[in-house]
Amino acid sequence: MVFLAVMGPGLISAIADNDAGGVATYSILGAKYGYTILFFLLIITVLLAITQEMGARLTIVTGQGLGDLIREEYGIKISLLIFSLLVITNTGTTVANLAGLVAGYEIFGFPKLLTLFVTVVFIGLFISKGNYKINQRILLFAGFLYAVYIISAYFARVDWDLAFASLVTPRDVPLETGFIFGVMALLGTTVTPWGQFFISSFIRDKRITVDRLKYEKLEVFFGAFVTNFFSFFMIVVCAATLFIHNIEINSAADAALAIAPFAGAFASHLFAIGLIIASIMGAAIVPLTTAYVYAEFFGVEGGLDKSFTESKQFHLVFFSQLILASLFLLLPNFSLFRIVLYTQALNGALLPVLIYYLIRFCNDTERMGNHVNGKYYNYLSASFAVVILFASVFVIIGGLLGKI
Amino acid sequence: MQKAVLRQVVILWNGLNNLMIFFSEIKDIKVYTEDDVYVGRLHDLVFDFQDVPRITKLIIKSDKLHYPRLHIPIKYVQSMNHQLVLVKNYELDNLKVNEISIWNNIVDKQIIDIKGRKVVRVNDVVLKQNGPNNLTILGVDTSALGIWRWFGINPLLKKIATFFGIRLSSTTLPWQYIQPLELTQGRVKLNFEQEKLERLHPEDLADYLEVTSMDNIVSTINLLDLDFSSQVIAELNLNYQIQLFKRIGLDKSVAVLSRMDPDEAVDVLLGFRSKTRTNILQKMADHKRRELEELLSFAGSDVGEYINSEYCTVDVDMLANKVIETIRTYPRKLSYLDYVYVINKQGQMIGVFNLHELLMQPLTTPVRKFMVEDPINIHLNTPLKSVQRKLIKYKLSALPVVDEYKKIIGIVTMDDIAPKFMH
Repeated sequence: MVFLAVMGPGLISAIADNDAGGVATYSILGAKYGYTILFFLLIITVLLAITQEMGARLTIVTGQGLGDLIREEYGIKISLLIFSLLVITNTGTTVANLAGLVAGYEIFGFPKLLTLFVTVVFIGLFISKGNYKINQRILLFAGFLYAVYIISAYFARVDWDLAFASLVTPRDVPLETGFIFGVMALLGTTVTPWGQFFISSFIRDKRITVDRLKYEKLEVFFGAFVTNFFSFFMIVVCAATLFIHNIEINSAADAALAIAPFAGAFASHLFAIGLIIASIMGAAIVPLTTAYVYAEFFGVEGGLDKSFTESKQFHLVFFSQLILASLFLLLPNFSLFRIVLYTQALNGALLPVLIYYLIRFCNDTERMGNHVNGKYYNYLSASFAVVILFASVFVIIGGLLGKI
Repeated sequence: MQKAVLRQVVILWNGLNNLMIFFSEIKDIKVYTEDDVYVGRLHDLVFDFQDVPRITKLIIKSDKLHYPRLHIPIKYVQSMNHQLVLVKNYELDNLKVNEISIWNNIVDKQIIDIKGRKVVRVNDVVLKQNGPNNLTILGVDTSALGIWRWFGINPLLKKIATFFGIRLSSTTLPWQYIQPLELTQGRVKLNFEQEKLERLHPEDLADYLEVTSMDNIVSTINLLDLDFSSQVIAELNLNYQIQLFKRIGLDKSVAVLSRMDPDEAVDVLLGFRSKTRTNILQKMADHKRRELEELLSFAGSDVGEYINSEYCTVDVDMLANKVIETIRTYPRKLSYLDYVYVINKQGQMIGVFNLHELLMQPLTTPVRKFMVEDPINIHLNTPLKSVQRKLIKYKLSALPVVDEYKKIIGIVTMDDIAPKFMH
């Protein structure tokens, strides 16, 4: 029962990490490299679990968000720098999500402007009118709608034996740069700077107490598992259809359309619905993260349970990011590819810094008491930080060379 | 190359040598001894939290590895400008347990209000330099300018803003609003609610200031702009007003008195020696001076002569039907009854209503629901001329006379005072 009470933050932030960009990356890689990519899913699950757990533990023990801690420990200059970078990357990520949304709707033939407008209004109302409990329920529900990918996989005639074998052992790993870049991009869309802030702020907003720490840890791990459980199906759908038939795609919407001849219209539509859900979650949670971080860095009230008048600045930041992203999307010569590329590059630069802070804070006995990182946990997370650092560099270079 | 350039904001108001300094402007300035030996950079300032928090020690970041942080009592400071100069034979001190400092315990910390709600973070700390080694904390800067100051781009921002006709100024939260005990627990907590911060009423501020020290009052008043501080001063009780004016200097006194209600200004002026009074009056604008001089000439013609003790008071929590009953069974026969005055538990007059207002109420309405708050009142030494003006201006038939504790001591009615002015 306690588990049900704490359930929410871990699952939601993990699943939200599979936003439109995540779905696109999984689809593209699944189509290009097939089942092989599955092995790396395991590693990414552990990575996601560990980084999210540190953020969750940090917030539950100190009662402060990652933003609060950075401001108090490193001062206004660092805070402002990180906040500015985060605003840029989050705007980019929101644009990518809204673009994914529009692409998903277009598969069903809905008009672009109208659907964009309706969704943005919906998201705005959802955040400003709702309260924490209701919003959390809706987000959890949306999270489980990712199960459409499982149904989609049912129609795709997946080679399950090969899939499971590829999951636990590396098979036919092509030793080419494109593949490495691909895996790194996978990492980059799953473990994100905004994800680190979000889990921390969302837990702070929920005010989970230390006595529930172990349940929350469990939930975070469970969230990381569920997220990549869904990702697994995303990949196998593309592997079983597009990879087998050597069809190359460039986006998640492409994938949804391209699987239709092999898996049927129903599976294709489910894939598109999955993309829409992922996009809505991303478009709601990423600006929400910006608003949370703003409130923490600059010390104003900010939370889902606060009304507009109680936390004006929090809501204004949220709305302006959402609206700004929508306007970007409507620009006449807008290049989604460019925006996603720059966003990924900046995210890649920001993430190792945040992981460094996370590890620093998690080793601070003054703040964490006896909840500091264990020795091996430190080794593990530090080596992952290095992996992420490399991944970031790879993604940046890869993007610049146009390899992804 | 000086990294930080110290800009000193001179407060012109009181003509004293008060220098306002922001902590961000002196953080990391270089520290030398008087014979030019480099010591390190100023890292932090330690203070004791009394009414006026005074800086006691400097913490200096040294390059030397075995003494990364030097704690030096402020008495060794010789001068502080673009750089900090210590006397030659300064001595080190140790930090005591629980000693708190600006950089460590205040800057960047979350400010919460009395209800625990987040207000903003401390962006900077405002200090006052009273002498070379006498620094006190005035308050904390909570505005965006407090953020940009760390980047040294405030002059630029201000220029740009001026170009667009906007005047940028930082918002300072006076130190008196911060609960010192909470600071030791690492929290910057205010002693009132956030809403009050946004539009602090002069009355509330005055009430608060009256229970603190004179030093507090002076430093708070100095932080406020002239109009607002005049309103606050007007709300203080007379004794404080007179003391305060003696402290803030002639020029500011003149400015504040000119902005105050003439009747109240006269009350204050009457508390001064005649020489001071003449000095102040001479500095005022002509029309203002004549007005006050006229009012002053009426002083001494005693309100006491016209005071009437036939008035009715009720408790603030009384219900309307109970009030009517009280009036009906009033032991004495009143020759005059237009207003009923409302008093609180401390016996202070806090409201008023007239009989018509009373009759219009449902019988079970408590008095506080329909009374008019903060009634117009006069004091024993209010000149008769201003009593008359108030009666006419506010269309009243009587005014309550209160003492300095807001306790009602009688009323002056139009009927009684009118004959005086008929002739």
